[in-house]
Amino acid sequence: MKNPYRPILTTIQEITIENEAQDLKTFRLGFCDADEGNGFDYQCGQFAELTVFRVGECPIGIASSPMDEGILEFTVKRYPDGQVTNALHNCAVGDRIGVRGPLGNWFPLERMEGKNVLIVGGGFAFTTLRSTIRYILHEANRKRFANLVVLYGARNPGELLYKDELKAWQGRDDIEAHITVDKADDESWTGHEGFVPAVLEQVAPSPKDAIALVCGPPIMLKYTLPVLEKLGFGPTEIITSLEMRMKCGIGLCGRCNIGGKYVCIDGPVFTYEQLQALPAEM
Amino acid sequence: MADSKMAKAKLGEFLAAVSADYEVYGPKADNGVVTFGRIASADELALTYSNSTVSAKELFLPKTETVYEFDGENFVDDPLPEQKRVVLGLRPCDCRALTLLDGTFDCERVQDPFYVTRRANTVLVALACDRPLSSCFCTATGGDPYGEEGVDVLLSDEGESFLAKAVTDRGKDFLEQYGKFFSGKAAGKWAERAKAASGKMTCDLSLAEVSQRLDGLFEDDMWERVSQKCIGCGTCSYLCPTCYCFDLIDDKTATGVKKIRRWDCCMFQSFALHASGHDPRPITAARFRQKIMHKFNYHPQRCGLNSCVGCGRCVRACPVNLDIRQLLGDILAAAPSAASE
Ligand SMILES: Cc1cc2nc3c(=O)[nH]c(=O)nc-3n(C[C@H](O)[C@H](O)[C@H](O)COP(=O)(O)OP(=O)(O)OC[C@H]3O[C@@H](n4cnc5c(N)ncnc54)[C@H](O)[C@@H]3O)c2cc1C
Ligand code: SF4
Ligand code: SF4
Ligand code: FES
Repeated sequence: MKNPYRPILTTIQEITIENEAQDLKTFRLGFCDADEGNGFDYQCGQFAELTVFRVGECPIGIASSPMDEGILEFTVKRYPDGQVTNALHNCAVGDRIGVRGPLGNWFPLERMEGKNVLIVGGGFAFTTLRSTIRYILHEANRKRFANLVVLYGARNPGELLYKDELKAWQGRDDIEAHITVDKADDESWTGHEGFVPAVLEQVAPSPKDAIALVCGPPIMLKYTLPVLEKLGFGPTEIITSLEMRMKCGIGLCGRCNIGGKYVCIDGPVFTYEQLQALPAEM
Repeated sequence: MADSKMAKAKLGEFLAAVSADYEVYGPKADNGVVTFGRIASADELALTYSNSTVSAKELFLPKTETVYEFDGENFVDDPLPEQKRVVLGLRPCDCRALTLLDGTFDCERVQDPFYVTRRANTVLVALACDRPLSSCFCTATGGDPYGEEGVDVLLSDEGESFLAKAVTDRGKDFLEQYGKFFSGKAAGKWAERAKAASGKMTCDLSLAEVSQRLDGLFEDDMWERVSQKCIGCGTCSYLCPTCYCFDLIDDKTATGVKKIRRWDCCMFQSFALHASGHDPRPITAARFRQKIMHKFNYHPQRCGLNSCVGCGRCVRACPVNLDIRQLLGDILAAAPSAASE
């Protein structure tokens, strides 16, 4: 019988500091055992429990794409009092990290095939959306989807994740990337200025044959979902990902439920329709 | 299955024989507190209790348990609890509770290897309940003082002897293995005894419909009212045979770590607190609602049954006398229309 609590061993291969505040780092992990690595078959939108041995475990969305062969990436925000996120940020290349997963459900990429895809992200909740964008942009997949429109916002230019990739996306003609910042404190800023919901209203992507994936802090979701509705996106065409405190990640420990739904096994991905049926317990 | 009987005078010899093959666990009394523990001889067994203070859950989901050990380089082989065990003298409600825990820890999606191994290696020899307490309400939940769900062998205390009945194949094998202590084909008055016992139950609620009634009550202002007295001590959950929430913590060893699965409780303040400081259940009422909804609405939605067996432990032990029966009665009494509002 497989022990569902036991993680797979990996080592940190690369650490990228993502933002000026230096509280967001991307960790590239390599599996210690190639077989275990090959068995780690994940989909865009899934997460894993990361273990810093002798400290603890926490759930983190998978930021790399299933098309990135042999690569597994996570972008982690350090919380001042967070035990595991601090310990992760104190790790160095070569350190050992446990990975338990992939866990949870994923974005409905099959249902999105042939459709226009709108991706709206805010802050560091952009990680699994980045995974999805990388997946769609992969040459083996790009033809399977129609237009790809991305709107991504952060507090200021220094807080944007994956800066090199954002630049590359803006130079391509098979993705329409809108980057916005709440406040452009930097004169060289050439992107949008303003909150995600407001910019979304300006950009006004068409809801026709389209599916929208939206991830961000609760306050962004609160104001963005109504804009999408107003634009004409239906409740099953809007898809989001939720976060709750977790321990086991496998539906046992009783920690992560919102009403009768366990975010770790029934989610983290939910349609807006499902979201509306959940009680106000977020 | 054929009935048999064992004279109580033989209990000591029987236990000695069983102990040669199995680890034997049973109820032990200490100053009126009845808990389950290893039994070395018959006089350690407390078989005249009404129900144990602490449930037998601990024998399958210990308060703390190592779920893996990492020595800094490699994982240490999991020491699965393979020893064969007999639990003697637990009540039918606790056996039924284990079948409810099975739905979580041994389901199609995931198996907890420690729990599953213990369940597979343990024979449950239950003792039917002839003296239910006024706080017991198993019949309201679909159970029975002579219930057989989850039971391998059912015993009934007839005074000078125990009636014995095999319920499962495992129970049958067990009775056969120790056949010399039982006189075969002793026609016991099972039906009369069971009827007499259930006749002593004082709670006439029927909880089958509670789940439906709760559907519309999440936002109701009743939760503030009914939880007002609760001090969030968690006693009710820790004693409950069907509560199973746990935490996973790291216990450092010299060079590595043991991952420990440890009982937790949704009534505790920081249970759902996020690292960002946000707490989806910041007040007692929200946590109390979680407990009740989990047992009587979410669990039935997921597994088809209420996760309460009516053992009455939470009623007896709550320091502020919060009585779950009263709450359930109020929910059932609320007009269905009001409930779905
Ligand atoms: C499905 C899912 C995907 C996720 N994906 C990502 C991701 O991609 N990237 C990412 O960075 N995060 C992600 N998270 C969030 C991440 O899991 C948490 O930030 C992480 O669990 C924090 O763990 P920790 O050990 O550092 O914090 P803990 O040590 O658990 O710290 C939290 C505890 O410290 C105390 N505490 C901490 N901060 C405060 C405060 N402000 N006020 C009061 N008490 C406080 C509390 O006791 C709290 O319980 C995700 C979460 C989920 C559920
Ligand atoms: S035992 Fe009583 S006071 Fe303690 S948590 Fe349970 S209901 Fe609240
Ligand atoms: S909720 Fe109370 S009565 Fe029901 S099984 Fe748990 S402890 Fe027993
Ligand atoms: S994290 Fe344990 S049940 Fe979801």
